[in-house]
Amino acid sequence: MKRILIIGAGPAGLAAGVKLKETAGADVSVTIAHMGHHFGGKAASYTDARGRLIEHGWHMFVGFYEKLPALMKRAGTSTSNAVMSMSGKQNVYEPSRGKIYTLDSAGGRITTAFNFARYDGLSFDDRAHYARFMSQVYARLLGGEELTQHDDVCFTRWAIENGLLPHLTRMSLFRIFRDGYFNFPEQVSAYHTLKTMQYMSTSEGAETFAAVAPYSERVWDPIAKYFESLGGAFLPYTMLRGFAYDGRRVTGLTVARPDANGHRYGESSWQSAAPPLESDSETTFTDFDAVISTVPQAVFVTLNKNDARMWQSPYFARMKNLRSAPTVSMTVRTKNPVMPYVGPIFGFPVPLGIATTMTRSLASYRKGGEPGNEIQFVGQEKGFETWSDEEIASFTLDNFARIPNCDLRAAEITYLELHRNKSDFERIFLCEPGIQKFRPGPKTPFANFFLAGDWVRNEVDLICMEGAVASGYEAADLALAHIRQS
Amino acid sequence: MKPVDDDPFCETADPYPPKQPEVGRRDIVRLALVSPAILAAASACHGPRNLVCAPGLPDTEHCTHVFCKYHQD
Repeated sequence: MKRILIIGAGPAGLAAGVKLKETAGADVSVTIAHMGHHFGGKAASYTDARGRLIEHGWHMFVGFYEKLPALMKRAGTSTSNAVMSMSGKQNVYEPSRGKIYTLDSAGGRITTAFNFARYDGLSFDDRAHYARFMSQVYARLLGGEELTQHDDVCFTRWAIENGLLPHLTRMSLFRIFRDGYFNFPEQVSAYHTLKTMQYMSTSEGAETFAAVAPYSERVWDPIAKYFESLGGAFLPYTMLRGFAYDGRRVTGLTVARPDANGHRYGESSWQSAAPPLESDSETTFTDFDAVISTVPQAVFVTLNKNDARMWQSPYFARMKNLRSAPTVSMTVRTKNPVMPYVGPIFGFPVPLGIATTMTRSLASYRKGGEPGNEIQFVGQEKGFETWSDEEIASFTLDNFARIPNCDLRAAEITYLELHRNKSDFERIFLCEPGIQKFRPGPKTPFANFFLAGDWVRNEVDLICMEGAVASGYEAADLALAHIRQS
Repeated sequence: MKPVDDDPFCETADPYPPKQPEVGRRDIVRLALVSPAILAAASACHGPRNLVCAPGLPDTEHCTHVFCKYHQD
């Protein structure tokens, strides 16, 4: 029997595993080796032994997702259990006015363009201008314009070059396009922004949902169980360190066991780039015919780090131009009701620039009593590395309190959890201008070694869970074709 | 010695060799916009400029445009 080894149990690894077992059944042995802390990779969200909600950052589920909901359905879980609708509402905080304005993005391209005209956070002239710009953008998207040609510029410049008044790009309303990728304070590739708008230009595609914590237990655990029911196996507490090759075949994988202390997520040991390893735990796997690596880009570029010839070769050298960043996530629960807005609020000062109300998540753990609220903040750490956790939390709560009905301290905070997701395997991939020419596809120079993950080019091609699932499927198809051919 | 085809790091082993950049519509539009300025600058102005380099004419010494794609390349 042919054997395929998958590295990583995030969305891409789980999707690849399921696809292989669904397609090849008992003809192929599939094992997923993973770090072992929890399923879901960067989209993990679970309750730890102390009852703390461990989040890798708030996750949004978008209406254009097809592959992930279908995978969930096959695994016997449904989106209705895992996500809550935000009714297409995007709330925008305009600091110059000290107010939150709501933009309704449900209803597809025509409605959305019209809603820019109704956005009362701008003057009448600016609203009319913005609506015209959005209509023109949607018309071009509808015309099937080749979007990769816009990858080399940031969306801000693209918008100005295509007629948007420059001062409007400094409004929080414009920051939605950038912040939705967590790229702030960096700029985002115009290709990625336009492609997202294309996916979200239908009524169904524009619907947005917040993933209800603990997300791993609602989404990834059922998919992992489904994979096992198909005959797949997991190999937990296994971390990829490098690989050996002979010609154009990978012949061995060097793995090690992370130290148990490194798996207390949220503790200081996770604050390093890589978790500590158990001494003498390094070993080499050779028992495979093909390998699918789903490790994040930040981890992949640490593999075989002393192999200068490999990292100077064209395929691998390109990968070093890609960048990632640590995210910061904060969950706050209050005793009393606070923050009445449905849907995410964009436009807050960094590092925690997005906030979402998660009342349904709150209801899932609190039984009875007066419900307060759960607010999940998410953002990027860049520029705030030297700030303490307390400084970031305090800064965010101070800013939030300036908005009417959003003073969390006054609503009596009962729980506050802040995480800096800065380890290599937690960093979010940055879709900066010009990245397309550096992103690899699923194939590598090695005939039996394939890549998957949202950072790998794929059919969906966006940095999101749906992209990771699509990438996992593509790598699975290639791995299967390879072992059948050989 | 291994045959060349067996070398995973030679150019032919790269499954995604880089393509030559294509000149798209937006490049032509930009070229049309900046060409008069480049001609004017080349003929008369020798002071600091704030121009986007035109395709094929990278000017890393004088180009001060923050987001110039040719400059970045």
